[in-house]
Amino acid sequence: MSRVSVPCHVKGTVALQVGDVRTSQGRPGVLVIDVTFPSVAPFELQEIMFKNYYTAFLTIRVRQHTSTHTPAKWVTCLRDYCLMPDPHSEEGAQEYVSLFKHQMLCDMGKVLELRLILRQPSPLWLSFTVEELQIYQQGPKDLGIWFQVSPTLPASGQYAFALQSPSMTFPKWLSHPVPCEQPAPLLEVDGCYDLNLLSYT
Amino acid sequence: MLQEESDLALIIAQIVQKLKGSNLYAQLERQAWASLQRPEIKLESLKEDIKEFFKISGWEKKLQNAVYSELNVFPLPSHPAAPPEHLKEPLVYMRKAQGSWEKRILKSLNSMCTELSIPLARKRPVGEQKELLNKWNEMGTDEPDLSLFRPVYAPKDFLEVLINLRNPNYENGDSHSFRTHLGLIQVPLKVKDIPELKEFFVELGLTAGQLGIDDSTQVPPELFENEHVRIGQKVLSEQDSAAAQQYIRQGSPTALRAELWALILNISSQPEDILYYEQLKTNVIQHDLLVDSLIYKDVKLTASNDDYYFVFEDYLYQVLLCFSRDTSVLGHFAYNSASPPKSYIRGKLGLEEYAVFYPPNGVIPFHGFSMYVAPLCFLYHEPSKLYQIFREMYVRFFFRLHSISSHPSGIVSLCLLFETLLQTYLPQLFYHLREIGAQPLRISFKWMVRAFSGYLATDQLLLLWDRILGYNSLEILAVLAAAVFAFRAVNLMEVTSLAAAEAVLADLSTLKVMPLLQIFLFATVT
Repeated sequence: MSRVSVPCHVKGTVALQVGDVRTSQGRPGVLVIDVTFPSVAPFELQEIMFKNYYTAFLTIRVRQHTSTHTPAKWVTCLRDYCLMPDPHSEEGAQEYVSLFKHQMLCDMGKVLELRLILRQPSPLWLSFTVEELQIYQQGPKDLGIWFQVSPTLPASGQYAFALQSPSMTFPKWLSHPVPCEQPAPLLEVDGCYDLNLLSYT
Repeated sequence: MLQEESDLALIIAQIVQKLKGSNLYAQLERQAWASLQRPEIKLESLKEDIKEFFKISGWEKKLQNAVYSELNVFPLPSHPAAPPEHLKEPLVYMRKAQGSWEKRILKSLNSMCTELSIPLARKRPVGEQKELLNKWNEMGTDEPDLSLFRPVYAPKDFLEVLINLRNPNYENGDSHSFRTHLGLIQVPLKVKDIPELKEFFVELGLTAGQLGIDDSTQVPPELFENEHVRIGQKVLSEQDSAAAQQYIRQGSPTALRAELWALILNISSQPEDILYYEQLKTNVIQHDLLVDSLIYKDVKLTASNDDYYFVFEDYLYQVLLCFSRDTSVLGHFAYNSASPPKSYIRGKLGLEEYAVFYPPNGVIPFHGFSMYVAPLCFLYHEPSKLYQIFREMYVRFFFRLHSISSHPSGIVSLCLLFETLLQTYLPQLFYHLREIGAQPLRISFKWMVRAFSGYLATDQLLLLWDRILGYNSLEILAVLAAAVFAFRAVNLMEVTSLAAAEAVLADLSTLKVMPLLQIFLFATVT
């Protein structure tokens, strides 16, 4: 499915806490992030993508455009979605997450505003949030999944030789991914093999 | 659902891409072409007939084994937005810690280089090459002067790094509160507790037969052993990797072990593999690397002094020297939190086309590294096969024991699992040892880092490594460490110092691994 990124404005997080934020000892366990789309008309939401940072549960509320003159109401479209199976441990704490239209409880046809409610009940973490938030709407229609030639593979960096075809040129030092190919001889310069000290990058 | 379909398609695409570059693909292609000569292959139903032919001739099974191997080794494709570092290690602070640790190792290696004025690498003169070639099968007789060399690091240095590992987002108060862990590891990783371990290791339960328990002399072989051996032979004749992995959870008969491990690791000695090994040997002969001296030193200090392994000294050199030249090992850094050290050809600092990884396989050996290879020498006598098995074991399991990561089989998780098990099920012992300044992890760390090699008797060690292969996880090392403490708890409660605690646990060579594991997991009253 092709998708198009929607420019959004992420307002600062607001902590929901009983009592004064400055004087009370405990840390807030609930944060609210408002996401508006100032320059875009009401659109159909396809996907929400973000990088988690120690948020345990996520609730999303949406305000949609209504054709009648009634004011737009807030509706919960995702309730208590679990990002960290154990809020006290690191599992899922820094993962990349995608949420799709079909996971939402309501229709996301004409989105005006989003409100993300983050919960982290564990007192162990100093802060929690979601980062790199991106909203996507439906791109130009494609013919459907069975016409796709091959799904795009994620970028895998310089060590994933296995995912690159052997015909790509590597420095001579590095051999091809095939274990049965000849291992590369050590790089020689002027007949001698002379290295600097190891570099710290 | 749409998302699961596209996830599956992504996994399939990744495996296909990986296998396309392999020897198996070329062989399957050749077989498919050759099969066109066969009478049963008809043009109208070409695809089905060739598939049928592959099924009958056993090639489908080979492909299945290769796919199963890929699923076991490579992590599933992560989220498309995740950068490659995320696949290596998702937690940012652990990546940073691993980076600093690597810097320290590089500094140590560089300073050794400059102090001793020895180049990182040099080409051997022809005379020296000839000499080495002649001595290839008896390098152990060589007595080079290694007194100035020292190991780059030892397990206890690594333990200090792990003890100081902190999550900046975690409440690490100076004062002790419910948040500070009582053990040495202070990061809150998710580890299994005993009910989860019981479920994970269900085949080790009291109702299932085990080699290591039910094959002892008092038990008549008709009860379990004979049938188990028969099933093992059947698994080998079917050449099914997945079945072998399931089978070996109950232990492997000694006679079948070498073949079973090769089947599980998907190693088959093709002529190309032998040729590859020979080429690595040529690399060793032609160039001398500084890490070679580190390997020599390590073998002399550890394996040569061990009663069980000193006979294999020559094999160890033949494997480890070739291992450090093998660039195919670099592939595992895609899912290893560590990164290979980099260097530049002299005079070309900073020019990427003259950047090389040093050593060529990116792995700097530490004190005790050769003990990963030593037990394998009991199973494999042909150097190229021994080499392949060790390389596969390293890129599947052993690398996790000396790099900082949040993986459930990584050394940090194993340490935390050990400490948590001990605290939960032997709280008095844990408290006592802590009070006398003998944190249990200080004693058990060296066992886990070496996967118990050199501490257990070899037959027991091989039974333990059977289960590592069977469950594709190193968690059993932490469970065994806790079980050993549980076994010697009575003696340990009476000691009053770290040295005395070490003395109680100094000799593990008489322990029987499987009864200890079974009792700790399934028969301890909680």
